[in-house]
Amino acid sequence: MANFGITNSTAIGGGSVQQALSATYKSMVVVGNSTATTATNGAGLLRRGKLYDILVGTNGTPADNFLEFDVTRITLGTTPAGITTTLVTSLSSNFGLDPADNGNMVNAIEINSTAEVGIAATTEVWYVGINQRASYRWVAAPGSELVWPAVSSATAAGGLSVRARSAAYTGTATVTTLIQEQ
Amino acid sequence: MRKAGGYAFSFGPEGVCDETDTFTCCHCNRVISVKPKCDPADLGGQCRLCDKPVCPKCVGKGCTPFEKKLEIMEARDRALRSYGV
Repeated sequence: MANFGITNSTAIGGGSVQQALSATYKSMVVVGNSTATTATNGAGLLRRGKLYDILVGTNGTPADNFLEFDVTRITLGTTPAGITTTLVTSLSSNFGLDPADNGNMVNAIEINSTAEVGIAATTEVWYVGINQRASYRWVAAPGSELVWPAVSSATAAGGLSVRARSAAYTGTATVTTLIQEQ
Repeated sequence: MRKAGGYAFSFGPEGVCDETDTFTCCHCNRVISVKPKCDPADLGGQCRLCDKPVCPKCVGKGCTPFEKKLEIMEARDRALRSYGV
């Protein structure tokens, strides 16, 4: 059960640049199973995962605006239309937290999505509204993590998406997630 | 909250400004913030079969633990893939 840290910073060398927020949600970090393109362990592998730590904030010019962050279930799809340009397939070993682990993620990773596809309606499992000047962290106790199933796109939402939106703030937001593959 | 399922805190320009316990619904996996001194009835309820807290949306809808739902989803997925669907 390897642990991984995924941020929407492009310092890792993959993913799109951080997207400006708008009144509709933008996916910043997406992890989950994809039958088309999983990470370096190959295509078609499915593995359950847990999201156990989220840290969100902004990196724009400080001002008083209201931002909303959430985590929702997502289907990455057999052919992840709209997210293929940001699907990180070859850098998964860079996300490992323990160098002693194998380091390669089976689940697909997407950073700073340029299009919103596959979001499962009414499946918001985590939500917070904060001031733009604030940052927010949630840590799960063992056994209370957000879990996504080891399923392909054909049957159920097999991933989680950390998203943000703001009606007034049009800068970029930051997110750090810690996950564990089972 | 005793045996909280998580912990959340926000940092403002003046440091930590808000801290709350959270719990994760054992039926739908949704995270609920527990406001200090709130009425327990406002948070949802306690499943008497799981003996774990549930969110307001899952109160009174029977007991299907989220782990069971995951197993059903994964079994269905394995079956469909074995059929080539």
